[in-house]
Formats: sequence, C-alpha cells, structure tokens
Amino acid sequence: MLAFDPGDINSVLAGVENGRLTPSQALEALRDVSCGGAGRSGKAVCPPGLPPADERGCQAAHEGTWPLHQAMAELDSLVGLEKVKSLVREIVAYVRIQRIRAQRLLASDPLVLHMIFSGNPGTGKTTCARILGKIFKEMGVLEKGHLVEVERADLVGEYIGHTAQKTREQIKRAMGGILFIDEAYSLARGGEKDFGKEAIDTLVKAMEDYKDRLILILAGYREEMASFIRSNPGLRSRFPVHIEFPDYTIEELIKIAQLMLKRREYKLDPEALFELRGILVSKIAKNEDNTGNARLVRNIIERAVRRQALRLADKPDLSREELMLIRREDISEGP
Amino acid sequence: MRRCIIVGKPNVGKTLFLLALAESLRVKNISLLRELPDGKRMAVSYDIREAARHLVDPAPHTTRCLQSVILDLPAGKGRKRVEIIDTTGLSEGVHRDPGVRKSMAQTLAALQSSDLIVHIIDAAAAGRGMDEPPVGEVDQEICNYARLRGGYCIVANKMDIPGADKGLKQLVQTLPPGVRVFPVSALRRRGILEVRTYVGSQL
Ligand SMILES: Nc1nc2c(ncn2[C@@H]2O[C@H](COP(=O)(O)OP(=O)(O)OP(=O)(O)O)[C@@H](O)[C@H]2O)c(=O)[nH]1
Ligand SMILES: [Mg+2]
Repeated sequence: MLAFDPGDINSVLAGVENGRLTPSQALEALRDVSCGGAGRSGKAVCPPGLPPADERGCQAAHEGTWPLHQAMAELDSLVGLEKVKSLVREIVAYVRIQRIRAQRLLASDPLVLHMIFSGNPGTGKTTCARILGKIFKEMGVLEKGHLVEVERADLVGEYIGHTAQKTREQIKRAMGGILFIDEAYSLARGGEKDFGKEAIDTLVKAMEDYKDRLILILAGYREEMASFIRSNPGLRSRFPVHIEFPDYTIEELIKIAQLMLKRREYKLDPEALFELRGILVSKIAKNEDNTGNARLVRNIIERAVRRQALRLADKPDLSREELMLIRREDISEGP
Repeated sequence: MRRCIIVGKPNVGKTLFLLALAESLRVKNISLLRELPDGKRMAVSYDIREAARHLVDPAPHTTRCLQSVILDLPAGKGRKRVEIIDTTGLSEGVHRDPGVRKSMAQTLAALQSSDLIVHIIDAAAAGRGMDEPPVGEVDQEICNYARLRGGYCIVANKMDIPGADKGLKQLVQTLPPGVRVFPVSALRRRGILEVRTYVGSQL
C-alpha cells in the first residue's frame, strides 16, 4: 500500500503535512499528476487550468529531468566507450518511443531490457551498469535503479535447494534495480549436474515473474560469454541487448590516468608521462593480463602516489608544486 | 490576474528578492496580502526601507505563509498587473515541526495554480558544497517539476558572496538544457531588472 494516492493532489499535500512525504517526493508526485499520467504513477489527472498533457509535451515527463541529464552527462564523461555510449543512447530513445506509442495506443513492444555485457575486466562494465540503473530509474523503467553486483559464489549453494534459495535472496535484493552477474558463464561451468544450472533456472523464472521490476545483466569475457549463450539457446532471446566493451587504447588509458590524478590533485611531469606510456606499450605488446584495462592504470597510479610520498617524506620545505608532481622515478611497472 | 510564485529552499533569499523587485519599481510602501496555512487572510504594509527588517532574517523558515504583492510590471510599451507570491521554503527531508510542514504543503498547493515559477537557489551555498551536484534533491525536484509547466526560471542569488560564481558555474553545468538562470544579488540589488523583464515577458 502506498502512503498516498499519487494521482490525487490533495492526498499528496496531506502527505507532506502529516510527514509521510518529503517535499521532494511530493514534487515528484505532482510532476506525474501535472503530466496526465505520463510519469510513474500512471494516472491521468490534469490539474485545472492546464492544457492537456499532450500539448505540453508531457510524454517526456521523465526525459530531460535533472537527474537523468546528470546520469547521461556522467556516461559522456567516461573515457572512450563510444560504441557503448551510442548504444545506451539508442536504448534510451527506444524506451521513450515505446512509451509514447503506448500512450497513443499504437502497438508497442513490451520492454525487455536484460543485457549481456562482454569484455575484459576493467573495461567499464560495472560503471556503465550503475549509470544505466540511474537512467532507467529516472525514465521510470525501474523503481529504484540500484545495482546489485554478484558472482557465482553469491548464487550457487552447496546442496539441493540451497542454490535456489541463495539466488532468490539476491533477486530480492535487486528488486526494482539491476542484478549484475559478473563472470556469468561460470554458472555453466560444471555441466548438467552442477548447481549452477539451478541458479540459471531460478534466474530465468524470476525474469518472467518480475518482468517490470528487475533488469538482469550477464557480464564476462567475450569468448566465454559467447559460448555460454550458445550452450543455453533459451537465453539468447531473453537477453536482447548485447553490449561489447573493447579494451582501452593506450591514449585512452593515459587519459584515464590523468583523470584519476587530477581528481586527487596530482599531475604527471612530462618524463613520468613518457615512462607511463612506455610501460603501457610494452604491456600491450606482450599481451599480458590486465592490458587494455583501467585496473592496470589504477594500480600504477596508486603505486606512484605511494612512491612519491616516500621520495618526499624526508625533504624539508616542500612546495605545493612538488607535492602535486609525479616524477619519472615514481612510475613503476610492478610491485 | 497572472500569478508568479517565488519558491526555493529556506533562507535562500526569497523574501528579500520580492522586496528588491518591489523596490526596483519604486514602490514606497509595500502592501502584502498574507494567507496563513489555516486559510486566514490579513493585509500588512511596511515602508519599503523598513520591510526587510521585519520580514527577512538569517534564520530559516522566517516566512511561514504565502505573502503576495501586486506589482505593475513594465511589459512592452505598457504595464502588466501581476501578483508575485513569496512562500515558505521547501526543505530537504521531513521537517519535524508540523506547523512548518503545513506551510510547505501550502507552498506546493500554490505552486500548482501559478502561471510562472521563479526558483531561487543560493549560489554561494552551491559553490561551498564539495560534493558533486551543486544543489540537493529539493532543488532538483523543483526544477524537474517546474520545467514541465513552462514559465520557469532560476535565480542564482547571493552572487555578492565570494565563491558564488563557482556555485553558479557548477549549477549551469549540471542543469538540463533550456533553463534560464539569472545571477542576482538581492542584497546589493544586482540582476533584479533582468529577472523583472523576463517575468514581464512571460506573463
Ligand atoms: N549576502 C547576501 N545575503 C542575502 C542575499 N539575499 C538574502 N540574503 C540573506 O539571506 C538570509 C535569508 O533571506 P530571506 O529573504 O529571509 O530568505 P527566505 O528565502 O525568504 O527565507 P525563509 O523565509 O526563511 O525561507 C537573510 O539573512 C538575508 O539577508 C544576497 O543576495 N546576498
Ligand atoms: Mg522568507
């Protein structure tokens, strides 16, 4: 039961008066009301004196609102990921148009937004999922839009029935938001007898039972995910959105490093930048683990910050510039 | 008569802005019609030079009712008579004083029936916050609500305080596109004319 009837102005005002609603919540409800039900509450009430919702462009009740704009800006501020960004934009446009079509009583597809994210670790999958949650919340697709990040061990149990129970618990936590399953292919690891299968079945059932309240994202390495989907043909149609996260290029990795440092009020001197580029080039050439991902950069930067501190620790009279500057000798490849 | 409502968080300078607006039109004696949350009405009037002393205060929730003034705004060649309404500030969270809550509900009700919304934000406070969004949930929701209604602008007030320019910049960066923002100092009477012209043109 809701604490108020979101379609009724007086009940919203009474909610503020008796302390069941904050002014922000009330404004959100009033926004829906003034928009003739284009918003979350779905009730078509028009306050007196206003033209009908359609003429005011109210289909867009949740488009262009402040937090949505912020979430999109956050997405834009991520380094690289151009394909991902344009795909997200496509999804947002699609959701909006399906909504408007439904309002105009045109045939509209039910929104199925379960996704597969494939790519190496540290390529921005979780970050994107978190931002998508915010976007969907603001568009009214999800009630809360929070992200619950799990892996095999959070879903799979030790005895029969245990797995279903554990999986259901995570589903419950994610209700109204996104359930993000990292290294999802590992659910199919042990073959037919493995409890991973039970987790998959429970997830598939939840997707049907809570169609409008939960979005599932399966994430993992590209090849592994591809063969996982191939071996579970039922999954393909249930996860209509596929997003590939490519490795970052060297230039993008350097941009990420500089952004991380800037946020912490450090900067690289040109020699240090040269050194960093050298390390990245050689790592990528050797095709070592972690190459092309942001975690590699994060490690190098964190180490550099510690080494700089060590270098400066015994020096008297430190200038502001010195405190900010990361030099060549602070940059190192490994621990 | 068209109604323009002034809303915002407590203490952002709504009342002082109303007075500055009246003063810019050479009002000598300001007559305010007060409507209390319980529906009672009364009229008060002050010498414009004295009014701030009675109505403006550094403490939040100084204003706990609707108080409106009727002004003849210059519009085109002539003048347009409009009602400008000062309101109780909308605070974050649930306020613990039931009286204040009732007054805030009154603000929201008046918001529903107004033709133009002037949303005041304390730019100095926005610049002070280290946290990312320069304004909190209430301001965001006021903006979300008001944008849909058409006839909406933001007044970034207290621009005379050092650091307010930073707040203004952050504010403008995070705003959804198409929202008008006017930098103002109600205290130093700066930027009032621009808002006045906008209000006149919108009503
Ligand atoms: N420096 C500076 N102070 C201002 C400005 N505008 C308002 N103030 C101060 O901010 C405080 C609050 O001003 P009010 O006009 O009472 O604000 P309000 O929004 O009506 O506040 P409530 O009625 O309590 O919600 C007072 O101390 C004012 O002097 C401004 O432009 N610059
Ligand atoms: Mg006031």
